[in-house]
Amino acid sequence: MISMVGKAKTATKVIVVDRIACEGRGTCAELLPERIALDEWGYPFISSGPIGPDLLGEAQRAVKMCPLHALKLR
Amino acid sequence: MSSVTPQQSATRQVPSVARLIPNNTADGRLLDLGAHAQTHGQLPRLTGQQVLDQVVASGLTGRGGAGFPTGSKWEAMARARNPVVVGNGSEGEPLSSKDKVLLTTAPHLVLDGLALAALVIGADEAYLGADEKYAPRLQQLADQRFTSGWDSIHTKIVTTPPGFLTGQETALVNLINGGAALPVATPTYLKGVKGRPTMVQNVETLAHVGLIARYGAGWFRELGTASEPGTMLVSASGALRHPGVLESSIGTPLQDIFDRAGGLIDNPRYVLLSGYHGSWLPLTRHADGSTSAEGIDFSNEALAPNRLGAGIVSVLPEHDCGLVATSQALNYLIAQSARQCGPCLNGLPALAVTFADLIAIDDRSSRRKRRNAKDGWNRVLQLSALVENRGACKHPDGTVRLVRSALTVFSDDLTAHSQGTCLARQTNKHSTGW
Repeated sequence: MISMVGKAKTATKVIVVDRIACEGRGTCAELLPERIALDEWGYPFISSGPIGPDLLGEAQRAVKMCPLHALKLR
Repeated sequence: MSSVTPQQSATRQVPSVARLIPNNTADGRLLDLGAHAQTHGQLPRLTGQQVLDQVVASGLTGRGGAGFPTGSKWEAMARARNPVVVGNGSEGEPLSSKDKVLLTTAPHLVLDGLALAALVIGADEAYLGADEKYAPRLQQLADQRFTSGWDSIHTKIVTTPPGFLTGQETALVNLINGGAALPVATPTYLKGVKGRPTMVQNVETLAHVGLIARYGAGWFRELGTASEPGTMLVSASGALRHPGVLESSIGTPLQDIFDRAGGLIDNPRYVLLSGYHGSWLPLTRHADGSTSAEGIDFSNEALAPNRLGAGIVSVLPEHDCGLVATSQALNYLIAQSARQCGPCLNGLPALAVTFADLIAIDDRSSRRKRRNAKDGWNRVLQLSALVENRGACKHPDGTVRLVRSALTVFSDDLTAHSQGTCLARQTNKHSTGW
């Protein structure tokens, strides 16, 4: 629970949404449609699974562009 | 279905258990520290490691609903840097009253457990969240414990506002930090009170530790099952003659709970386990129709925290409709939403409105509305899937659990309602419990 194994530097990242901060602006789905869809109210659905090197650039951009800083790569 | 008349189902004598709730005092309460010491003895002088070893060996699990092994949690928190401990007695669930009963009858056991938790994890600050009705009195007790030298830590009582989500641990921590009693996204064990790693523990769990430290893990395991040792407090409500809070060994058949609560009223057919975030289950009758009061075969649903959550058993009165009860619970849950997360904010009200519209179908409803009822129920399932796992807290997930169990268990009622009738034919709209 607490003592999560220290993440190796090379570990792949996953996208996480801060559901409280998110206001459903939809920028993320526009920038990363491969992994993010919107529900009927405009809030993101994130496909599970790590972000591979092919999508890392787009994912970082989506994180950076979120107007509410609600998207994170962990 | 055999008919069990009230006479036949007269209460069996089921032995009660009294570990947490005192049974040796005139008013059933142990508020005085001296009386507490007389009943349970002083806290033995143990090191944090010794207490931790006993808690681990006891197999105690959290009694706040999640059932996480307490020993594992404390072991992990003992490695955290500069941690804080918080006792959670805010109990937002409307069908639960066991924490209130515990705080008003055996508060010192809770405060003992909190002090022991602080000792084990090395916390130099301890908080206890409780409703405003109990907070001032509890603060007096905490002050007295500190000034008399019983506690080496001065526990601060935090007054919690009413509300379903107040009991959510991140909400309690946010309140302690000067914010609103609303859930936040960061887990408390990472960043809690004043940004420090914080261990939040339900008050009943703490009270059990107060006993385990005195009597040992072996004693704790004398009751309960091998995989789920000990006792638990159960809030029994609904169609029971004497609803209330009971302490029971884990593994006790539900029928024993019913008997100890004075027996069932009429012939109820459904029970809600684990509260508004829980599940409906059908009650099944024995076929032999003998004089046995055990008309209900619940051997597969024996009392266990994983089934009962925070120990909630609520019997749906015979003449109440389970779908109507679910719809009312849904309305309550939506009203209690923190409205912080998009899926919860939008999805849950849509879910509740769709649900309410469907059970409101009657003989005056249009033919088209009745024809489309099936689509409506599918929409309920679709909305359920839409909100699940998409909140900062588990509010949407718990709400969805209730909805799904209702749709499964009340499938006949569902068909009836879609055709504009109700199987329960609520003759008494103000019956017990619901």
